[in-house]
Amino acid sequence: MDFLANLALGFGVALTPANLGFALVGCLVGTLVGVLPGIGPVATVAMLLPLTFHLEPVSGLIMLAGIFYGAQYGGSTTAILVNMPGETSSVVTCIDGHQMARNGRAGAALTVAALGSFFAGTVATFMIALFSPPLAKVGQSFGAPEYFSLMVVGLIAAVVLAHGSIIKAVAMVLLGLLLGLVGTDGQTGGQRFTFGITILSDGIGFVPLAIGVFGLGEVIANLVHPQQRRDLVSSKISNLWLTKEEFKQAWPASVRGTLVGSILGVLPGGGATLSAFAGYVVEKKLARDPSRFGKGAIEGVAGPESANNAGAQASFIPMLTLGIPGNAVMALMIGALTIHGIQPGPQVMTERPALFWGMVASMWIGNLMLVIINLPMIGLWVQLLKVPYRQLYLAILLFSAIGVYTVNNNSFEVILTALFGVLGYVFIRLECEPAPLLLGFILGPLMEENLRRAMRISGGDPMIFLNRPISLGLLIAAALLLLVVALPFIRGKRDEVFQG
Amino acid sequence: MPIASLARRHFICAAVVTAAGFAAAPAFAQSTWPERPVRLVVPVGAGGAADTLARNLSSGFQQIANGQPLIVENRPGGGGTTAAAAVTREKPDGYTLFLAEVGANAVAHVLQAKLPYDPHTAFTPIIHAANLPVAVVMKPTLPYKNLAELIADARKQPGKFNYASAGIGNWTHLFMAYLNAQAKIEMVNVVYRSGAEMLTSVVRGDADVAPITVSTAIGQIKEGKVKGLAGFPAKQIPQLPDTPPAAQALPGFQIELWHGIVGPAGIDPALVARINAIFNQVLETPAVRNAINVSQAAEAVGGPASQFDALIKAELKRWPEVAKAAGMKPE
Repeated sequence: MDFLANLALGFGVALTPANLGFALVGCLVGTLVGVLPGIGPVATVAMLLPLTFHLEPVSGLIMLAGIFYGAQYGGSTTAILVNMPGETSSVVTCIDGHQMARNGRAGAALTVAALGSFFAGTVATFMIALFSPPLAKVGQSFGAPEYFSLMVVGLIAAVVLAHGSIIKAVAMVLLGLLLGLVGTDGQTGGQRFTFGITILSDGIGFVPLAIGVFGLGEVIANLVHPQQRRDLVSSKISNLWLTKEEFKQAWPASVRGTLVGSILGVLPGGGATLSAFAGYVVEKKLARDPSRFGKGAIEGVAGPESANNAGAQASFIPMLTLGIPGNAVMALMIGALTIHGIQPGPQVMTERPALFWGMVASMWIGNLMLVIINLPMIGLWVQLLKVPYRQLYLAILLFSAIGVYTVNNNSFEVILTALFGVLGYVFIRLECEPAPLLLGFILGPLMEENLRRAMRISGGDPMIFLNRPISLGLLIAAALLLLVVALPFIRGKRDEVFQG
Repeated sequence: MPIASLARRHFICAAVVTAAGFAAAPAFAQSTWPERPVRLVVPVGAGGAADTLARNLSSGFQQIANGQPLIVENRPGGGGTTAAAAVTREKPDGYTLFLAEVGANAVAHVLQAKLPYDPHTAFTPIIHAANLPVAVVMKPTLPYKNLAELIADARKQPGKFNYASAGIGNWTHLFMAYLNAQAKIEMVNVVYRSGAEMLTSVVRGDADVAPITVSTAIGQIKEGKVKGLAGFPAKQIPQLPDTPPAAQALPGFQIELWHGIVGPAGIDPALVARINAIFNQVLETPAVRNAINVSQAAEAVGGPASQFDALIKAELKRWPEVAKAAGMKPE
């Protein structure tokens, strides 16, 4: 009964007209910054933080949280329509989501993304309400060795992301790892691949790389064959709603994605991103016909979209229950709490139940608002594709440049984005998929730093990876996955040999 | 975006107006600073203790400073030197200020080979805004009751204990290197990405100890998830009555994590006095004082510009020596 009483308290706080208004403002702003490529929730929340000084703490938090998950909804819109992931977590949505748009199913892709996100948001909110303290413990049981082993699983799974040549996928993962190495070596301070350029000592940013390789590469490719490629997208906009067939394929994927996201999201540091990648891998592995993936499979949108939203929601758990931020947005929210004189930590839940439960209740309300905002907008977004490409691409370039600049107020990153755009076009010509590259880029540095951290903690003894049960389990999973990936490949080669 | 674009438009209008004003009467300009929004460049990302301090200052600035806002601009990177270098290239007109800290202002020149500025001469010190007290926290499974006991065991077993830091040359690294040197012990540095990650690693028991700002660690200390072993400031940290100063184990030991405001080199002394007076008033505003001293568990300082100048000069002596002795080499 405690649970119901708590929820009642929470909804009592979240349903006051003022707080509903703040949730709505947050969701609208979040959707907007999500749709604009590159302008992410971190920059937006940082900018709006001063506004919350004058609000009730719970109202401020409700608004900031709305921006955060609103951006998750909005981010999938650009990923699907113009192949531009604004957030790390919408990288995989590009793969099949944009293909669906090319097949004339942009409306269906956007609908499934919104509904899948809503379902995941609902489930994750209840998970937070019911299981916050135990889930927070799961997150804490991951130390350096466990993270390293998780990254090993992730990198092997990255190969599954690719459709087409496995060799090319492996090459792209390795290139991603190399790009991830650029910058200052965290443990020694040594410079790697910086060529004496000071700005490179902080490494290459995710936003310039993702926007360049995915978005600008696509723009160049479209301009090379203007008529034929653009027509692919705009001429065949059919029904916005899902067909029965699509619905049947999408809902189980949504459920699986939600599960994956709720678990991985609790891990600090990129929970939502890992969730989206994992959601995609699960769908591709479970599919009867994996060859459909990369050509517009609806499960490839439903799974990762649900996973990233569940992951984003679950990343509130360590912040709310332990006062430890899992990502930059959560760090800002802790900053907002501190300014209001609330010391974030385990005691918030008991000492300020109205704040905690009001926040939880507002998450569900915010998700509901986002679906209501987004579903009618889908028609509008799809109309956007009818804008002549010679105008659309200029807008894409302009917003990309603004977005990239605002991340660190740094003009060098805009130039970098342009260079990566050219590289992205080269990849398209070579038929190399950029998604494995980005995964290598994100996971590589995490893997390295956790490997070295673990080795320092153990005093140089590699057995630390096998002595810890979670780490051992993950390494076994990685070995099995490697076998699954390698077997058909080896068998395929042998068939070729025998036929020859 | 609406806020930024509004501010920008405001900024441009005001810039045109003040440019005309400056040409006519420079002395008048100093007594009326600020006549347009002031930028405070912060060398760390949004969130975190230093950023919160900047935002606390910003929240009290407008009422006192002719209604002009203090705009916090986060430019993380290069251990704070990206932001610092950008500020040194600005005009010394008081409209671009920098949130100074030990990294960019007292030690970066010995850690980075090609630093584009010299911290001895590149800035005009304006005011010592606040100290953020730092405490060494320890994982609760270790048996030591105080810093002296830990040091005694660490002396017997060099390299057995490890500490978490947030990067080579970061203040967390410097402070622990100083502790190592003063206590004649050898604890191993393990680098994490942020104060939050460092704290988690101590809670989990992966790291043995870590230096963490009190505002970040206080929740976990009160819950007993980590032990507050010793405070770095000379004075007892009021929020942590069970955590004595490190000076109890190591007489004379004292580190303040200071933050203050500087501008590019060459600000007119009259203007420095004016900016200093305004920030002193901001720091005396009850709301700001309360936010810094109570919510942030920090210590608002204030005082004349000369006092901050002396502090930076002293720190410019201490930290380069610590960094060199600990083998942190320029890259």
